[in-house]
Formats: sequence, C-alpha cells, structure tokens
Amino acid sequence: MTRQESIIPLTLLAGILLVLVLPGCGTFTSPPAAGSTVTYGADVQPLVHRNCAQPCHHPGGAGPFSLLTYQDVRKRARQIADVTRKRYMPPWLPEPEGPRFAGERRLSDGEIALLKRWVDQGMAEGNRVAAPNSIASREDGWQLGKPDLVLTLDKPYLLPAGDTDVFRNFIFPVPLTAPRYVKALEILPGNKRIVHHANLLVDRLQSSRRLDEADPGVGFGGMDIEMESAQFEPDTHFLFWKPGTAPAAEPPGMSWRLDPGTDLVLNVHLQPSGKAEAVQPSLGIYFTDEAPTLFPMLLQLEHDGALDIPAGATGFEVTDEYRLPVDVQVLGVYPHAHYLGKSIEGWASRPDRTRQLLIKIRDWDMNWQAVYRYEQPVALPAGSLFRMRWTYDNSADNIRNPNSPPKQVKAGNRSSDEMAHLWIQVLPKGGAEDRILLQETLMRARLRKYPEEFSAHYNLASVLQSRGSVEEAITHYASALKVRPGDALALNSLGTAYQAAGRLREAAGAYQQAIRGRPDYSDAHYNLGILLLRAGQGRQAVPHFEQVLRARPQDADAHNDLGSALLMQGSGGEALSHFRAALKINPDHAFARENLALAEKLTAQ
Amino acid sequence: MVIAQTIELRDDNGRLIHPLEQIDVKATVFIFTRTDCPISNRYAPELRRLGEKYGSKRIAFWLVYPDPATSGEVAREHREEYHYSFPALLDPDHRLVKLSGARVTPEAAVYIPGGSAGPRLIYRGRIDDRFVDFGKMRASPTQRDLEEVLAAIINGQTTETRTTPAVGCFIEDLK
Repeated sequence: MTRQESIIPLTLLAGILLVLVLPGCGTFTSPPAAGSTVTYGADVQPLVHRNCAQPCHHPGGAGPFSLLTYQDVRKRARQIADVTRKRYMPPWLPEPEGPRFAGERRLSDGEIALLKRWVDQGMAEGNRVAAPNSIASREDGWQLGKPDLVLTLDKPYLLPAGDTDVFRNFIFPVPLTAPRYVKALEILPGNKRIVHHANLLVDRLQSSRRLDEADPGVGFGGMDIEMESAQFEPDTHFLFWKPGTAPAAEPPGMSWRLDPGTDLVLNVHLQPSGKAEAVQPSLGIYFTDEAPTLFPMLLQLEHDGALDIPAGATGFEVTDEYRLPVDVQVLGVYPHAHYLGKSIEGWASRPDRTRQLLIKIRDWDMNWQAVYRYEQPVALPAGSLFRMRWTYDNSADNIRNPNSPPKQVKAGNRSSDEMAHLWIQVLPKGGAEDRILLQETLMRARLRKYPEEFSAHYNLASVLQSRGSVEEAITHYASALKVRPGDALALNSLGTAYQAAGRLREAAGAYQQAIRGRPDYSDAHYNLGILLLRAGQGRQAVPHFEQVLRARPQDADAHNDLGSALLMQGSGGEALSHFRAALKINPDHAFARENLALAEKLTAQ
Repeated sequence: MVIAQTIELRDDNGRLIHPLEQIDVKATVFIFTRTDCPISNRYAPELRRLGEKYGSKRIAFWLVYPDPATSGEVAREHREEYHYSFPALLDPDHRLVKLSGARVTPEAAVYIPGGSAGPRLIYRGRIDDRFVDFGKMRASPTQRDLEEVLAAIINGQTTETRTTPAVGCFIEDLK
C-alpha cells in the first residue's frame, strides 16, 4: 500500500460547487396595446415583482432598497427606466445568442419599453394591488431548511467605511471525523449590504492557513487564491454565491465528498457602504448518504501566461483552446477576468465543423461575474475543439481601469492584475477511463503552454501513474523535480512510481530524500516503512511507523504495520498492543486480526 | 449666473433655517442626499473628509434631504449612522432642489455670498468623477470637482458658475 498525493494549483474557482440558481425571468404576457395607459397594477407590478423584488429588492433582501410596493417603485421610477434601458439591471451579462442558461434574467425590449412608457405617462397606479407579503427574508435564514452542519466564522470581519472594494478570504475548518457526501451547500453572507458575491474553495491540505496566519485581522486578503489539493481528485463542481440567488441541491447523483481535515475557504467581494460594517458569514452544509454516480469535471481554458497588456492598449487579445478526447455534456461555464476584461467569447467547433457558442459577453463587468449553467446540457462529441477569446482594454477610457494613468499589466491574483479564464463544467459520457483521458490531455495542453510548470508535470505524472504508464510518470516527476529540486511531495510520489516499477532501491532513496527535506512528512515515512518491512528490515521500519503515529495516532494501518515491524524484530509484547490498537480503531481490520492471532501464538510460546 | 432668493427650510430638529443668509461664511455647500440611495451613502467617507478639511475654513456644509417621506428623526438617524458632522435640512417641497437645479443624490450645490445681489450659485454637480453611471465606477476619482471649487474659493478665486453631471438616484422621482 502506498500513499500518494497530488497537488493541483487551484485558482479561486476550482473545486467549487455550483449553487447558482437565478430566479426565472419568465415571459411577459399580454402587453398593453399601444396608446393605452400603462399602469402599475396591471403592467408594472408583475414585471418588477418577478425580476426585481422577488430576487433581491425586498425588505431583508440583497438589494440596497425595496421595490415591493407602488410607493417603493414610484420613488425609483426614472431610475428603474434608466437602469433597465442600459441593461445594468437586472444584472445579466451574457448575450442572448447561444444556448439558454438556467434562470436567465434578461428583460425583453418590449418590457423595457413598457417601463419607460409608464414613467412618460405619469406612473399611474391603476388597480390597487396588495403588496405581496409572501417574500420571506430568504437570506436571513436557510432556504433549504436546517443544514446538517453549520459553520460560522468565529469572529466578525470589520470592513472600514473607506472607499475601496475589499477581497477577503475566510477559513472554515470542517469538524468531520469521517468523510461525508455533500448534496447542497448554502452560504449566508452575514451582511447583505456589503457582500457582493462569494466563492467557496475546498482546501484539502489546509494550505490557506499559512496565508491566514501571515495576515493580521480576521481572514486574509486576495482576489484569487491558489491552494494545494491533497488527492488527485479533479475539480468537479462550481461553488458560487451572489445576491438574489437561491442555493440549489446538486443534481441527483452529483454529490461530492468532504473529508475530515478539509478547510472550506470563502472568498468574498466586499463593497463598502459608506459606514463601517461587520460581516460574519455562515456556511450550511447538507449531507446525503448517496455516493456520487455521476462525475462532472471542470476544464479550464486559460492563458494567463500571455497576459502582458501594454499601458493604453485596447483590444488586447488572449486565446486558448483544448481538444476534447471524449464525448461530453457541457453543464455550465464560468468566465473570469478582472477590471480590464472587456469581452469574452467561448465556443466549441465540432468535428463536423459546426460551431457551438457557449458564452458571449460584450461588456464584461467583474462585479457581476457569475456561474452560468445551461438549461439543457450541451452535447459535444470527442474531437470538438473548445476555444475562448478574451479581450482587454487597458486605456484610460476603461473607467474600471485600476491604474490611473494606465500601466502595463500582467497576470496575477490582485485586483489590479489580470486573469484570462474560462471554466467549463463537463460530464464525460464514459466512465473513469474518460476522466483519466481528460486529465491527461488537459495537463499535456498545459505543458504546451507552460513547459516548465511544476504542477503540470506533477499532475501529468500522477495521471500517467494511475493509468499504469509508470515509466513515463517517472520522467514527469523527474521534470517536476528539476523545476523544484528537493520538493518533498514530488519525491514521495516519485518513490511510489519507482516502487510500482519495481525499482525499490530508487524508491527508498526518493523517500529518504523526501524525509530529509521534511522530517515530519508522515506519508514518506509510511511508504519507506512499508518498503523496509517488505525487505525484512523490521528494526529500521519501526521509527518510521512511530513517526506516522505521532502525526496520526488513529491510523489503524500504521498501528498494524508498526506491530508487524516490532514482531519481526522480536518485540512481540509491544506488537500485541499495536495490533489491539488497530482493531480498536477498526474492528474489521483483517490483517490486524490475523497478525494479533499470530503474535499471541508467538508470545505464548 | 443664478441669483438665490431667500429660502427657509426646517432642519432635522424642526427649527426654521435660512441657510443662505449665514453670517461670515465664504461659501455654503448643500449636499443633496437620500437615506436609501447606495451611491449617496457610499460618498459618506469622502464627504466627511471634505467637511473636516474645509469646515474650519468658513465653508458651511448642509445635508439636504429632498425625500418628503424623510422625517427629522429619520434624517438624524441617518446622519448618525454614517457619521456625518454636517447639519441637515429637510426639503420636502423641493425648494432648494429647484433653486439649485439639483437632479440626483448625491449632488452638490455651492453658493457664495454675493453682496447686494444675494448669494450666487458657483457650482452644481458631482462630488467627483468616480461614478460614471449606475454600476460603472472608477477605482478612484481622477477629478475632485467639489474640492477644486472649495479650494478656489478659499484662495479667493471666484469663478464663473460651473456645472457637472452627477450620477445617482433621481430626485424627480421623489414627489
């Protein structure tokens, strides 16, 4: 048994579960005939209620003011006509071309004209409609009922009154003792007035804690963060929240696993309101006993390496492409850039040369970024080519330009840096083999862009190893180590590959080197212990298993293996207690049971 | 050039005030605001900064609430919530709105004493150019129009009446 880890540099959106469901926009029926008087009761109220009041603009809702009553709407009438005409509200970035997204919130030209007519005609109330009082303050409580697990930030973060937007990350340790499957996750922002949107990341290695410790105050700063992932378990789900969205349970069969020791990291975009505000978000997690049967994956088109935008440049382009090796269904997309992003188009060219538009945004606005999920999945055959094209405006005419005067901008995690991403969530038609093929081709595509990237070599090696191409895996681990000499994780994994190839001496060497670099590295100790045990060197194996148990006292395997090593060197009495400890932790541990019987026999003699 | 007439409004404690007949001021600044306008509220820190910098230099600042539904009590609470140190006027009949020509919240109107001709409107418009439209906002302003006007007044430079377009919630909706 060898333990292997993989690291995947995840940008903010990786490992994210989609909880984005926008209220449906519906269709407007029976518009008043031209010439007749538009009234609030007959025409405006249903429209405003469905598109504005219900999702956000109700008391306790995410909108900064309510649009529930005639008086509310009357006091904003010109503003409503203006912002709908400019399509700033309701906020919906994608153009109507292409496949329909779930919960599209886009007014028709007729609806926009109707609002203007109402204002021009003097904003008649018409038949009095009772203000619907059925809108519960949804964000004040859990919308999916009582969660199985609620995690709340232990201290509030204080946002100063100041005038700059803040991007902050909060860590929520997950207090689980056994893995659970998550079917839904809900985010309560804790202060709707200032939380503009939020993303959740799954941090399996608690790698964000270092950043948290380095940053005074609650949480840590940063618009996009990177983290390591402990298992080669590719990212599968989007997890995104923005005001006015209801949380959604994952589709049947698409639960995801949450392991003990995992941290959930909430990345929030905070907009100051004009006064100091406290924010203390909560996460509500809903579990299911059903393991996933469908395994979506997140593919990332990106070329941050090509981002080098001269000051003043308009129309700077970044493209990327990736050819699908297998048949998939596309479930959703998530475009991501910062303030210089101008437009994004994502599409696929099928082998029969038909073009499938996936998303088109003409006027990118980082503040309204969102995950977009298709109403019906989009089927694409193997051989289809995904493509994306971002354009950027780094001139002074781009009023969102964070630099005044404009200056050269490259890729980075700060809001004044840029990004060029298009995440695509796909469901491979086939099984595990298809997923492995997707992972392999994704990493090879990445290596074409970044031949010197540690994680691309490392992850490709992991995939290759998992599908039995051990020698090629060894080559890529070695390439990874050339980039980051002495990296303990890579050395440990290289050891497992050597071991799989039967090159045991080299495997031991790799583990030893990993331990020299990181003396408390349990997995390398464990793997070396097992090698020594198999070579009959019980005495040498003992300290390694002891080291594992110092870090993981409840590891039944390590107890069993330490028992075996002790037995081998003749310490039968001590061995007994470790076999018993293994069985106490896991009564079904067959090896420990066998070993205990053997040890009892030996010590009785 | 706009000549201001005598104008009488109630402050948020119900007292009658003649804000354009103040003694010994270099200028009177009205900031039209609204309790429920996010753009307006977001300017609170910047307005506090201007108040601290120019309040002691014989520039009088007033918050003006043109929403007839805003009572003195509501205005007082709003002032406290956002830590405004300016006094407040209620303008339910939009007298000051009409006099100054203000269209949105937040918007500034600056008057200077004009001797026998009465106070003169010297500036009306945005506080700065941070907001370009609803939802379109610069990371920081490139032009601080109101501050430039105040600095010029302090330096004894009188200018022609200047207006700039302000972005915010329409006052005309409040009737």
